[in-house]
Amino acid sequence: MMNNLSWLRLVAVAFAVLGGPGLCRAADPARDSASTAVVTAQIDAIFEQEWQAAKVSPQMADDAMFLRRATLDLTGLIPTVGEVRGYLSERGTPIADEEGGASHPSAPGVPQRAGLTSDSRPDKRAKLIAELLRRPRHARLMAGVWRDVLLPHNTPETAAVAFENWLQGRFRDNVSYDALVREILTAQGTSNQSVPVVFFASNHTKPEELAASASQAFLGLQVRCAQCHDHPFTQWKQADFWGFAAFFARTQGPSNVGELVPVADRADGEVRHPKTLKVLLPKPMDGPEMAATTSEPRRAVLARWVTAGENPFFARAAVNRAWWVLFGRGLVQPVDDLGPHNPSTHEAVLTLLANDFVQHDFDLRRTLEIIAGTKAYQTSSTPHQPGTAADPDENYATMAVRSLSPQQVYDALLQAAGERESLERPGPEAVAERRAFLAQLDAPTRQPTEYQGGIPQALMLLNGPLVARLTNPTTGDFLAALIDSPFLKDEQRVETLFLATLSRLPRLEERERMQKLLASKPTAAARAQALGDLQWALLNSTEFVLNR
Amino acid sequence: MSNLNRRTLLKSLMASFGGLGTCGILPALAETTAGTPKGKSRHCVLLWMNGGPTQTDTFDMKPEHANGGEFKPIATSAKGLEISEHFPKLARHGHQLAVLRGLSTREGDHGRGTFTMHMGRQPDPLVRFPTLGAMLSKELAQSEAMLPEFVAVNPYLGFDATAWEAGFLGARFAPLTIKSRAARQVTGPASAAAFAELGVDDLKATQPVSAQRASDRLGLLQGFQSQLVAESPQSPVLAHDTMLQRAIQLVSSDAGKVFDLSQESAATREKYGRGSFGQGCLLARRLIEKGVSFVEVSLGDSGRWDTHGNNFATVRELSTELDAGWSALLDDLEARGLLESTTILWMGEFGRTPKINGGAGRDHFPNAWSAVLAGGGIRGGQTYGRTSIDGMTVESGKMDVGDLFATLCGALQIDHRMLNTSNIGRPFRIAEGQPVKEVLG
Repeated sequence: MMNNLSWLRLVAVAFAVLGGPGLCRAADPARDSASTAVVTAQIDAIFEQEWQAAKVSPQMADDAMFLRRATLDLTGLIPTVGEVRGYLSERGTPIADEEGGASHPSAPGVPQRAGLTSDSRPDKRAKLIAELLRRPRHARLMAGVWRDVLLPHNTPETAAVAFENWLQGRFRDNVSYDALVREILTAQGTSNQSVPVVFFASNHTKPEELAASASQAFLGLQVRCAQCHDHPFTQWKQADFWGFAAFFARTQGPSNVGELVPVADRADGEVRHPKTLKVLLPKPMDGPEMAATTSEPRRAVLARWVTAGENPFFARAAVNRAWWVLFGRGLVQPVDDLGPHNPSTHEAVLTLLANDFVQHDFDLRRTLEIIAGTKAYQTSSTPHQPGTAADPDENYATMAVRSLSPQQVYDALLQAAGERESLERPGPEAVAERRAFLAQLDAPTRQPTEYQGGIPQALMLLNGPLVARLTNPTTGDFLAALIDSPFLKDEQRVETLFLATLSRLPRLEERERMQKLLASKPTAAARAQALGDLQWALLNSTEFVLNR
Repeated sequence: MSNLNRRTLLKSLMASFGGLGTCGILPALAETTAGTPKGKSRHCVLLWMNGGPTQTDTFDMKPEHANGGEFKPIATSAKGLEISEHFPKLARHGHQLAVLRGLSTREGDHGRGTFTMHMGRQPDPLVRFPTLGAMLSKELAQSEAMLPEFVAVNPYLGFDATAWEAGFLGARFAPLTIKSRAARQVTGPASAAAFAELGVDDLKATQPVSAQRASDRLGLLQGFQSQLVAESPQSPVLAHDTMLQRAIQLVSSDAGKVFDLSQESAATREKYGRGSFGQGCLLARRLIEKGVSFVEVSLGDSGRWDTHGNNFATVRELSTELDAGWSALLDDLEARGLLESTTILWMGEFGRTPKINGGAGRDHFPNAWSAVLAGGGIRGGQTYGRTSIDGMTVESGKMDVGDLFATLCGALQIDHRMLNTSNIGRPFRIAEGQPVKEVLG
């Protein structure tokens, strides 16, 4: 049964199971963690006040739940067995005023449950967050998020992938967000010369489409309705929309993705109000018209206004999006519909984050680090009082459960089955397998709080070839290595399967049930099969496809 | 059925099978557990014409005018109702058809048209509207159904995939989509090859699993499920659990056999037509017999009705496919006493220009076009609405998509003013329009 690769696998499993040295994280380089901690504490104070007023005492997620959540939210993957073991056994470094310090005031009359659980020190989580944010996978995740924000869903895949790769490089280098947006808004040339022009091509270089798309993506303003009439629920008038569109009136470029027409600024070109037919000068959403005399390209003026620290929308839209990345909902929801008609659930938090974002060079990673450090992000998803409302509450006392996207489900399957190679450097077979898997779910919903796969994906996991291969002791590499490892007891094998899939240790009753099942199997082969059946059940469970 | 009921049922099923035969994950269960329709259940079939079908060459012919083109009209079983000569079998059902010739909508783009004719409204970036099948199956669903209430056969998602979303109604109402198996796909008209292969993948385990192991696996899985649902009953948990339990039901019972068209005789399959549309109509009949509320069957993969060029040859082929599948569906539903409780809607995303272009084609035209209602709740044998002699304008009986949906609701005895709360908190009616009473039976 052992082929020549099996030894390597065995060693890998040994490290995974025992927490070998290769999996220890390097020490963090100095980061401005003291200053992020201050903002995090300010946000905590706001929520703690709210929790006191509502007489709720949120439970904090335990380390296993937090590790899985943060790893998924910041890298898109579930943690490996080694990572879970390492994290659960790692001791946090004590800090001076951990209990009762100014940043964690205890609420009179409220039981002391709001603190972090005893197995975890605050800096242990902070270290994890900082480390996750530096992984290449984090840049990949952010690129995917911003690709969805910036490009219409029907953008041809090749162009969209090129754009996503370009974004990934920018996020990897942690280019400041204002510079990134300026780079997109002022992009020049053909898509061969400059990838960000895909933003223009996918919006057909039409002023009205670019205006709608740019205001939604960068300013969190839904102005599409105002294209045809004054917006029914917001302050936006038709003239505001077309005044904003006038910034793109002198942009020429491809009318479709794939046309190699360069994006450039012309000296002429106007838009007219559709009803009055009056020529409209470029006008920011909140300000006076641009002077007619300036010779500067309109897009350059626009890019400067959009990304200015004083812009009332830009930073708020960005930090609201960052909040959405971590919580599956924005402080303003829908995440791209900001404005007086749609107030934030937590205006003070939004303002705090937006100001900090402007003051710290539009550093999205910093914002994510602040948010991920908050108690609101670290609450347990198990309802804090039995029998209370099951759905996420407005005051963030219980973490909202979210669904993995179909892509995340596929990646999690490979990760759980130890197929790192297909995950990081997929060959043609792995690419085809991934495509076949994703082709099963054709009705995309992008709501993270909804399960997106549907019955065909569930059937595929229950009965399909991928899970059958992974959970068969003779074909599943991880399972085979686990079974072949002579130094493991069955109990440890069971434990490892839980860590690999649900990123947590089995509970007592789960251990007992498995023990009973294994004891009923007379042969080693039948016991091996039973371990495969456990893996099958874990991979099909709701807990596996959720981010809790 | 609530989650708990479903789980209890599952548990009792699991408890009862120990040691029986081996197929799929669980042994076959008694046929009686498959969804048995209740007495008064109603059903809907949407025949979706992908690409925008030409009204002038199908249901609103203009033989007196140059715009009319090559095809001739023929009489039907209903006096005065004439349709294209390429619908000879459907013509025998004329008395069951209400041809609506006054459709007038606002979207002439495939994506926006596909969206509008599925949601009943124009796209709004803030609102995630549910598709027609989700809205209607929510009202029509029978609580005991083992099968999903909404099945979509071969939808082409290239124009606008969101047109098949359950939107703010939630995953619970999302369709089970069934695609032609690519390997042996027959998308064209009857070919010498074989019948189009429609089916649900992975109803049976890839590798054989003994009854004992099936029981072990499912027991472990259900243990995880009940623990999580009890401990953390948040809506994504419940939504996934519901969906998983339905998938388990499908693989553990006979219910999945409904998708196996090989159980039908070759003669029956032939009658419906060999292509994916004909076989889809046959599947629709089988699903309705099992109590499924809404079935959508698409004709015209990747937009074959989009006849900008070579209109007549293409439409002749498509008409032949449509004629076979639709008429066989009407025949069989009638023979089984199901036609009076099943309403059929035929439409696409828009019509096509009456004027023939230089390439013997017709272009997008939402101003004046046709849809057809048939079967349960419909006063058949009539036309409603009239276009001008050249087909360019609606002269009477003008209907927008909201009126069409409201009329369909009327036929299904659903109040189209029923409100559903959207993701932005604003309630929406099923249909914004008025039912046309003349069309209702």
